[in-house]
Amino acid sequence: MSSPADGPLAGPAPSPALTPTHADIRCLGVLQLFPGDTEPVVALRNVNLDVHAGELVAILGPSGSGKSTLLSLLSGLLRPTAGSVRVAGHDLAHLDSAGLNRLRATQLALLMQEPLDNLLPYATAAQNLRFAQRGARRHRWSLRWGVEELLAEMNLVEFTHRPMTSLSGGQQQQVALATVLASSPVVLLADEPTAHLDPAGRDAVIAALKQANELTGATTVVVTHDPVVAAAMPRTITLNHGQIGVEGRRGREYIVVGPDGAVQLPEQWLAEHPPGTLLSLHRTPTGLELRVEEES
Amino acid sequence: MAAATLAFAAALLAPLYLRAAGDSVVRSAITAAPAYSSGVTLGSGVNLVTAAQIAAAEQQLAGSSAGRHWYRDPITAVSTGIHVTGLEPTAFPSTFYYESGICAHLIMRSGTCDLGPDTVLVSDRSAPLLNVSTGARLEVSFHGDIPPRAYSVAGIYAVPDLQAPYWWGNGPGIFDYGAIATTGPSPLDSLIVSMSTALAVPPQALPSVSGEVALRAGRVNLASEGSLLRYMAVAKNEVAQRDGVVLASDAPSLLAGAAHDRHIMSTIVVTVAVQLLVLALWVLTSLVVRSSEARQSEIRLARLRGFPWTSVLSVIAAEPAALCGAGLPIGALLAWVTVRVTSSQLFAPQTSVRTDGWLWVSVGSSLAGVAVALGVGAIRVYRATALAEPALGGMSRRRLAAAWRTRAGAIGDLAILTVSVAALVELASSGAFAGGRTDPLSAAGPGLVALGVAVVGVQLILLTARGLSALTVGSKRVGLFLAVRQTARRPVLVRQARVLVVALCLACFASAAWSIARTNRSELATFQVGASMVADVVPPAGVAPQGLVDEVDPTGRYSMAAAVVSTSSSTLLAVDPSRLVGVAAWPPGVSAASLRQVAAALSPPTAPEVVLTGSAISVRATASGAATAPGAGQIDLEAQVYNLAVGSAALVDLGPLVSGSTSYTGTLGVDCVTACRFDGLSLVPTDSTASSVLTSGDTTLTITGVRVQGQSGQWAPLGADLSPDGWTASEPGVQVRTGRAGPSISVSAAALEAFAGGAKPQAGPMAGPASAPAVLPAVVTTTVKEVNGAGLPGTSIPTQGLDGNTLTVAPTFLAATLPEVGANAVLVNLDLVQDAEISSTSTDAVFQVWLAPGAPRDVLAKLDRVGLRVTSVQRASDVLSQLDKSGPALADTFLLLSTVAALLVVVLSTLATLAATTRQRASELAFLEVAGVRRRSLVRSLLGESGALAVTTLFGLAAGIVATALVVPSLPELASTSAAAPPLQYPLPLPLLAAVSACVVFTVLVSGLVINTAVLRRSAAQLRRVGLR
Repeated sequence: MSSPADGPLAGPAPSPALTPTHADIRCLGVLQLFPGDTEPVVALRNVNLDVHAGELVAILGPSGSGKSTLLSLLSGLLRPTAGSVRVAGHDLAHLDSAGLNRLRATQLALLMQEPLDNLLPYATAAQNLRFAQRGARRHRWSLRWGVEELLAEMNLVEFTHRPMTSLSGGQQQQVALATVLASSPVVLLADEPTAHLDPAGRDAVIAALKQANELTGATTVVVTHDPVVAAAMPRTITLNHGQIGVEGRRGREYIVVGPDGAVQLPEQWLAEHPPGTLLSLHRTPTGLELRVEEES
Repeated sequence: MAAATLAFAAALLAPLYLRAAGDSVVRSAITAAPAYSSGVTLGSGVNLVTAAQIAAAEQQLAGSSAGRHWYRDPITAVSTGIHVTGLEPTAFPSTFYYESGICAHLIMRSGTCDLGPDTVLVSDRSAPLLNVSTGARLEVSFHGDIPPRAYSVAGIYAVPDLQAPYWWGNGPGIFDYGAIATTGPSPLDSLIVSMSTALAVPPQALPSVSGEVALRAGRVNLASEGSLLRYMAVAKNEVAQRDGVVLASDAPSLLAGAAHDRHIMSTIVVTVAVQLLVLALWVLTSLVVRSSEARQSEIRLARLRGFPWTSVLSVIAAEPAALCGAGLPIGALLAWVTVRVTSSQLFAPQTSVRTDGWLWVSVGSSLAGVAVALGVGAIRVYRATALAEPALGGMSRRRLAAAWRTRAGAIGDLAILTVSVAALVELASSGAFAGGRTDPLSAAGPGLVALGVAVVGVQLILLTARGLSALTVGSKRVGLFLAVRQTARRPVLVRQARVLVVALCLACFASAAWSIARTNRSELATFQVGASMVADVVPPAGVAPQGLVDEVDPTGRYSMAAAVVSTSSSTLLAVDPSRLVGVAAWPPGVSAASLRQVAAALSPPTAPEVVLTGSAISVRATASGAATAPGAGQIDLEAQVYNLAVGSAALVDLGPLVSGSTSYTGTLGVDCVTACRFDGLSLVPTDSTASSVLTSGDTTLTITGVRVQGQSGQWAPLGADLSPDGWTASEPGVQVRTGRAGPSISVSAAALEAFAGGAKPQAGPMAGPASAPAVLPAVVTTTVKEVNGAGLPGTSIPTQGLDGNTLTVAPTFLAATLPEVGANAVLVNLDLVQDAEISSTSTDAVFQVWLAPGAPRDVLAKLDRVGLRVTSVQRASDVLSQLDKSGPALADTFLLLSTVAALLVVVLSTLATLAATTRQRASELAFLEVAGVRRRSLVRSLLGESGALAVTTLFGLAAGIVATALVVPSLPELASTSAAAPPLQYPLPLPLLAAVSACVVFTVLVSGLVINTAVLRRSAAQLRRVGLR
């Protein structure tokens, strides 16, 4: 549960129980363990992440890297084993299930990988959007757009009265995106939204995501394993073995210094310098330099 | 919705049915009772009451508006015991009798019923004995010291139907012509007089006045019975206090009996209804889950969009709740229509189908139950639609959840098994299943048995499937492997089969219980009547009914003559054994002997009757022994003949017995001008017989010839067989031995003493032609045997013959009870008992014609045409109809109706589950086909799964058989038990059970085939869509 000191929500009318200060995402020292057959499995370790209000971020990583777990933590489907996760100003660990429901109905939207997981397959686009708005209305959340208005903004008018089963995968996912935006969220989380799409569909969805981000100003986190999608995002965070590795901004990759001063080598470097390799750090006129001193 | 509708219908059927059935039981109890039983009789208590007092009491009871609502107009009866003398000198006992409106119930043969002072009506059968006709004068003497008075005969009336309600059950007493009298002549029918004449007799004559007030039976029902009882209680108190009149009525006991009947019925119906309600809710819950699972995407989406849990639950339950809501009124209507439509067949006429408080209780309970079912189903689906979680954690949680579900399922199964076994043990220890007594609570047994068997059976199937799965994993029979693996892996369907097992068990039990009870009631109805139909008949005077029945039915295929006479000690039933087997009811358990054995035993081989016609009889015989010794005194030889025309026995004195060979001759007089039967000879000691003869040795008489003198004066040998086998001794102490010249009759001194004084020969001769058995063979009931201490075979026991005289019979078989006459009765051969008559048949004896089901419709008219006047008819179908309206029978019918409905619901829900679980596998089947599994193997696999479900279903049959064997003997089938009823039988109707089970299994198999075919087509379509076909 958020504290009153967090301040009012930006944009839509605040809920009395949820009074975030601003629309950002902050993970601090997140550790996530799962019970294994013999010993616990570490899914995320010491993850620190800040996503600012209105940012469009891609979280990239191979299968098993922990990106879906991170998305589950951000959406409140999981509670972290250690560390804290704040979304839209709320510490998710302190929200009960009603608070999480309220958050998901109003400020937080989750776009699932499978288009039809986000939609009523038998319903039209308009009906789907109205269904999505029901939860927000239940919580007296002010909606920024009407159904037709949003469909028009998202260039989906032609699908207004067509059932979802008659659309292609890409079209379905575009409608799904409109659907999650229908509740006027301030944070949008998308889980592999282009996973099952052909390149054209993928491009359409990428464009739609960007358009949605610009349109709504919602902080948007897209989990993907597709470099094309990641490259299209202004900021990219790469997860590797449950840790944040490199971060890309506008086409350039950076390694990130963690709160404890640790950095993680990119994957290709790690192959050359496996764990145990000793590196020395040298200051140069232009910055810092890592040198190999001794190999294990 | 169909399941919800049927479930509601089943739930609401119980209160509607109970209300209507209860009303029917009350109406049946009152309307089936005789008018004199349900109505009120007003009469004297300790002191005789006057006509005025009776009139006042009648006014009190039936004069008010409330009284007129309940009762018809009262009838006043006055009777006074008299002796009447006509033109003959004999004074016959009779009764002066008056009853309000009697003339409307009499048919006058002559004269008029317009009675004035000092005039009487005489019956057409009394008039000849009095030798009077209309206008003649009679002399009537009364009890007490009252001079006789003279009355004139105003008319001659025909004897009416004595069973008519008007006679208030006193018909045989009012018209008791020819009844057996202990002393003096038999009584005559009552002399009917006017009220003034009846009341004009002196008080010393002790005239008895009574009031008869018939109940308006149609106005008594479940709702009004309390009012009637309260009204009667008040009236009884008031008439007793004010008028000194005693009010007697069986209505309270009839209604108490009906209440007991209702209690039995209610207990069974409620017990069954509760079981079915639980079953319906079980089914409903699973249907809610299934229907909600079909909307999982919607529910998951609602959760994803942050709907509050209440909204998610409403999303889950809204559709089923709406369907159930729609099902309620339709189910209620269906229940009402079912009861309404069946009411004319099941219930007493005018039974009303109404609602009462219990209906609303049931509606409330049903709604609460449905709400619970919806809630449980919704929560299960809510838990099952948790939002997608990361694979690693999700896998682990799913594993944990699956393990928890497995453990919870096992614990649940164990709990069900424990509860059912514990409840069965409790019922058994309370005696509910003890065969000796009935307990309506035993109706809970089948459900408990079904639960236990269902749990064990399903586990057995699952274990077998798991075992076979391991065994067939390397088999080339892919279809078999897939079938057993799917059965083991997909326990949802097999678990659903538990409901089917329970429903089939209940249906098997219900159909078996109904069938067994119906058979028992049918047997009882036929047994109580005696045969399919029994007509009381009056044959023409002096004519035996057997010959007339032979005329109507020469082949003896469907009719049998019989006669019944009752005394205070027992009832004699005389039948025609040659037709007994084809006509009479003889249900299993009545006797160790079959009806064929009984018929044979009642007809021992006998010589032909010796019939003579003439004026004198001569017997040539050689006498020796004690009675011929010097100083023995006189002992007469007497012949006994029976006048076939008149129907009376006569003794012919052949003179004193002398030593050596002599011809003894006696005059037959006019007795045997037409035809007489020669019954035998007796030695009768006279007053001069020496006492030493009666205490010393035997006397032997060897018969060497018998002759008859015809009307022409010529003597001719009598056609009597004089061989030793042709004669038989009839008395204790008398023996017939082989003699060279003829039968040698050896008479002991004790036997002679029994015949001393001339009284004994009335019972029959000492020895005679073996045209009749020495002692009548008989079937006696256990009660008669115990009363007489008779052993079987051997000891003879006395009873009363059709002529009212003592008849000695020799029991050959024992029976628990006898058809029509009950547990205190004797069954004999009608021909033989008539042969043994000494005097004419008593009017107390009722001749009957028993008719088999195959009798032609116009058989009564045929009987009438040959001279057998039918006075009343009893039909087994009428009795059965009455029994079918008893509480236990109505409970049985409810059991059958409701379990069939429940089975229908369960079969539908199982098919829905089968369709749902199989449909989910369309993709899986497509993948299997892509993976190279042949379509034929897939078909076999699906058929194998349906087969496993069908085999599981068969556990319901096994449970049904166990429940039937265990519970049916303890389930009340009759409202009350009687020693007169034959023992109830409980044979398992295996063909019926097999048919019910076969229907269910067939339905499951065929439906499975259809569903599987559809799913295979769907999988093929999927393959075509992706271009793999």
